[in-house]
Amino acid sequence: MLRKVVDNTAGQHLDPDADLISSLQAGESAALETLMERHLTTIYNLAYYMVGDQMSAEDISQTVFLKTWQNISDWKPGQAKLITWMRRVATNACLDYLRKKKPVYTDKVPELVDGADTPFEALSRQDQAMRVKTALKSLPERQRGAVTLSYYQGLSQREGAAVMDISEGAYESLLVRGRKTLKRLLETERIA
Amino acid sequence: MDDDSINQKLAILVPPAMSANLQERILAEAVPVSHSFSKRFMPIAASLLAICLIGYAAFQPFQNNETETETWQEAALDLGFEEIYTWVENEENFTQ
Repeated sequence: MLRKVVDNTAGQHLDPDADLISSLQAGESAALETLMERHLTTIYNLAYYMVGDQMSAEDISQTVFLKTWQNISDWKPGQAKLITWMRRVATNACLDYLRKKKPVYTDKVPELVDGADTPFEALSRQDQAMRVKTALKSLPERQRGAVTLSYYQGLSQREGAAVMDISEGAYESLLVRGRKTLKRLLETERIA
Repeated sequence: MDDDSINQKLAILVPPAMSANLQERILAEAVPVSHSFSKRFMPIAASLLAICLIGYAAFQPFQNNETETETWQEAALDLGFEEIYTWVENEENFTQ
């Protein structure tokens, strides 16, 4: 069932997907195709930054679109943007996945490669990406969610809070703590 | 490390391209929604059914009483107790 998403920033007139709702409710697969063209990359990227694994991110993306397809008949236009609800489904699916996976938190990131002029210069772009990925994975799930929504999805605090179904204050707190932890983890590059 | 530095580092991580057939996979799994029509009219059908049931239940006792009264009246006539039956009926009506 579609739960009500509190998103004061958006009514139906601002929902860029309002034109698709009736077609989706009529069961037109062409509308689903259009919805995927608009948002599949967004949802996939969100899932990837959250779970850090391509196959799992694809599975979660599939779940999000199928849930949207199956429950769209209950959608009440005007209460929120469809993409806000889809992001919420994706975030919850990622949190469920991470809880089942039981990640091990650590303060350490992979060691740097020796033998370079400066450690930072020596890292290839791929290595740096791996370190960022590892640092992100080290964050507690909800902090990772807030960082992903704010940084990688470009959402405002109000939108991020609506997606995570928490108050703006709680969201801001998650975000501040997440960035603080990331800063600490990524700063070790310079020290090493 | 300031906020800009963190942002620059976060920007380095770019997701790998998703599988080319992901969209096709999702479309293949999306079973045509056939229940939307029936779902929309299900409450109306349920309301009509409820009205019919309530109506049937409400009128059923009167029909039974009618049938019962007629049966007793016919039995009294058949058995020759017509006068007694009429007297009892009148008494009952009088007391009510």
